[in-house]
Amino acid sequence: MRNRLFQLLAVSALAVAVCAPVFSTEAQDLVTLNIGAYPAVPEVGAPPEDWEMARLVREQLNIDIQLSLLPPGDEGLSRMNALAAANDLPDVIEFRDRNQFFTFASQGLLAETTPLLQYMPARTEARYSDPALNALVSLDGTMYGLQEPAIITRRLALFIRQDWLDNLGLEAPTTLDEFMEVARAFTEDDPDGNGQDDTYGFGAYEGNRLGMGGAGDRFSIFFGAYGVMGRWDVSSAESFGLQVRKPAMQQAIETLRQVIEANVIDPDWPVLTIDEFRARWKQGKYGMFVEDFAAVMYESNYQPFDVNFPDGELTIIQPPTGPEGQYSIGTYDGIGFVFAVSQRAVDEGKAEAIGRFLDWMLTEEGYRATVFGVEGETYLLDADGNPTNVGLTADQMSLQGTQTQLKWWGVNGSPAELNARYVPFTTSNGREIVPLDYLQAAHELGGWVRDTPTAMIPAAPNQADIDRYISENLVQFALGQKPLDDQTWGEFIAGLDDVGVGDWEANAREILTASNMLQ
Amino acid sequence: MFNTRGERLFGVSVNLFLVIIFLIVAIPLWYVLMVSLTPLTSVGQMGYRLLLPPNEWSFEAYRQLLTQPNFVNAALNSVWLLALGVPLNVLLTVLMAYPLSRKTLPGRSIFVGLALLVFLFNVGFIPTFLLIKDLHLHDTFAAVILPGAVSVYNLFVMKAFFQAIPESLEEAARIDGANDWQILWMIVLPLSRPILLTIGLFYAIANWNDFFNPILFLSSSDKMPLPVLLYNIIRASSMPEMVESTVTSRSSHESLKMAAVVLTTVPMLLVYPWIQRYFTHGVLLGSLKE
Repeated sequence: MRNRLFQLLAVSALAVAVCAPVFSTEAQDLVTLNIGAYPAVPEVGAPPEDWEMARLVREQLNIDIQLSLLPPGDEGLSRMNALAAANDLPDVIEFRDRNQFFTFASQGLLAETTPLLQYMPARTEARYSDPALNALVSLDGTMYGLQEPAIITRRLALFIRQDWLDNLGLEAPTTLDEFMEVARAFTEDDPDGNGQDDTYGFGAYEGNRLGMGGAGDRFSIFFGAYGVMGRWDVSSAESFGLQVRKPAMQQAIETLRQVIEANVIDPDWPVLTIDEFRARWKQGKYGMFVEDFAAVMYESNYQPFDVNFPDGELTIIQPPTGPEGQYSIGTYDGIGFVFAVSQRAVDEGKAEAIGRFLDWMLTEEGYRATVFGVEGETYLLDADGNPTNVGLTADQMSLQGTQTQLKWWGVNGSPAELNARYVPFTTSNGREIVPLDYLQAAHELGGWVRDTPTAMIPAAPNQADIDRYISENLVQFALGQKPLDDQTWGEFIAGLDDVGVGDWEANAREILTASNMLQ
Repeated sequence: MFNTRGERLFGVSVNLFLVIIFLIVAIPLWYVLMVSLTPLTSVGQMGYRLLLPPNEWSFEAYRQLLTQPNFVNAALNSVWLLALGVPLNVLLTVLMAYPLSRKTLPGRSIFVGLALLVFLFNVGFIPTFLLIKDLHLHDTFAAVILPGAVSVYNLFVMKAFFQAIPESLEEAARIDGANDWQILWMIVLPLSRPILLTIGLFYAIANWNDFFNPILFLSSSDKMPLPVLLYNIIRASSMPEMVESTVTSRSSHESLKMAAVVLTTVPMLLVYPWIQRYFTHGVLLGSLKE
């Protein structure tokens, strides 16, 4: 009797084990993916309850997206640090601070991403096939992130008031000397003909960027004229180091000092914020300025200028050349954001789901939902069947913002996409402006220097001190608060090592050499 | 009433000083208001001005913010945090301040010392985050409210107020058979309305303006309160990839930011004068003649 009971139990257990997959709900369970991302449009808030992208992902991939939007800036970093300390990082994370990425990777909080690539073949082929980019997210040869290529690079351009040139009978400057002459004329010769002394030849704002290079440096044309573009010289192993150490940097600062002494630049530049700087060129105070092409030629950004100056015309010119014929408006690294997967997510078996989700964004339906939202509500289709923002109301555009908070994860920089983002418009006097023409001009005329290896260089432990030391000294030299001669410049250079720049450079050289980034 | 010339001169000087202080405080606030009312077209023409004629005022920034679903949601979240947090803050502070104000409490000096220790030394946000996570309070309003439920500063202010209440009142109540709870509820708290409202206002302002705790402890964006939204709006305009986002705006970024500041600040400004009239130190006078 006992044996029969045991046999019955054994058979029952076997039957349950065999049939369990049939009755198991595991295969039908939703996989929940926690995504930590910075919002694409911070001011419009989180996706709504009826977020189209989440609905599609749930239906098509059996994945439930839980989006946690990270606040921009230091607060976002603090939150990520707290999550890391609690081993509670989101499953998929967007990093905008490379130092934090490498810190988490070195602490074992991030999963190796190479095994995940098999689950996202389309995305891997499109974005993660470049060994040079993959090296940027690798530690000791192991890839811990997904390095997105930059979608739109080289956005800065030197803008000039063409109408002022025409009014004064001048040509666009091509050299530094010509630049000074035109700037003087814009400042002193009433180029707008209003009888008031209210214009400057050049406008800029500093924002602790002087000598730092990087996006947003409004004085970059002066450094580019002397071949000391950007923060680092990564052109060769022999010349590697901070640009500020180069003798030509002193010449660049001297030129800037002359521009300031000539009073052809808005004297408020040391204290202006970016908003104030932008308000001033829209008020017609500047004849020349360095600006992001979209900050000028995006319809809503251009509108205030158009209202003030219906006949005003802004064109892009090549930056002025220096004594040796060099010119440049800036550097670019060609890289975008970094995505990573938490080790905890992989341990929980979510690797495949993560791969499928990321790959889905490159499907037609996934791409449109991620980047544009809902057809008919947040985007329309043009005659060629491509998504477009033309015809959308302001409220629909605002709604598009909430629906596409992950749009940077899906954008691909295709012509159709760029046409949808940068829609041509007509000015008040009937002139058609095609923003993408200005982007192309920015590319062609900028003399851009690519410095991708600099993305591998970690911040120094006292980076803030270094930045402040360099920026403050350069500002003092430029303003004439400190005399600029070989002795004072030498003292400034010597002081770099006192703030640890030498150690920083040595560490950077070691890292780039190990990664074969310095030739 | 100033009788002598010197007194009159002193009075004029004091008034002049107060006017100057008022201007120093009021002008920036007025500027914030004016920027928020500056129409987009005017920004381009004349920039932001301190004196903007009323006929040029534009409420477009306010309309844009108030019609955004997330703004109203964020405001409601702030109200919820206030409604849930302030009563709890005041209740816990009273329950801690009253016993500490009684000299007969055993170990009183130890408790006061512990409170001071917390006041002087802060463990930082990561241990607090770990504690919240271990308590499974993450992504709840409780995570935002509980860590700061009792402010040591407010605790000591309230304790000092309770200590100033004459003990003879308590003795009289005990003679009549009242226990500690009855004394607290029926004698002490009615006499403590000024301090309760004052401390309540302090907590209300702290809760209303708190943005770091929500950022740290809340994952769901739809639970974020107004200060977080305001922070996002302000940061948005300084991010290079955001230069295109103004397509959603029919007002300048500065106007949008300042309108958000006004909308976030106004509730507290409205509440404060209403509570201020309760700040009368004459309430206690006459309750007991000694």
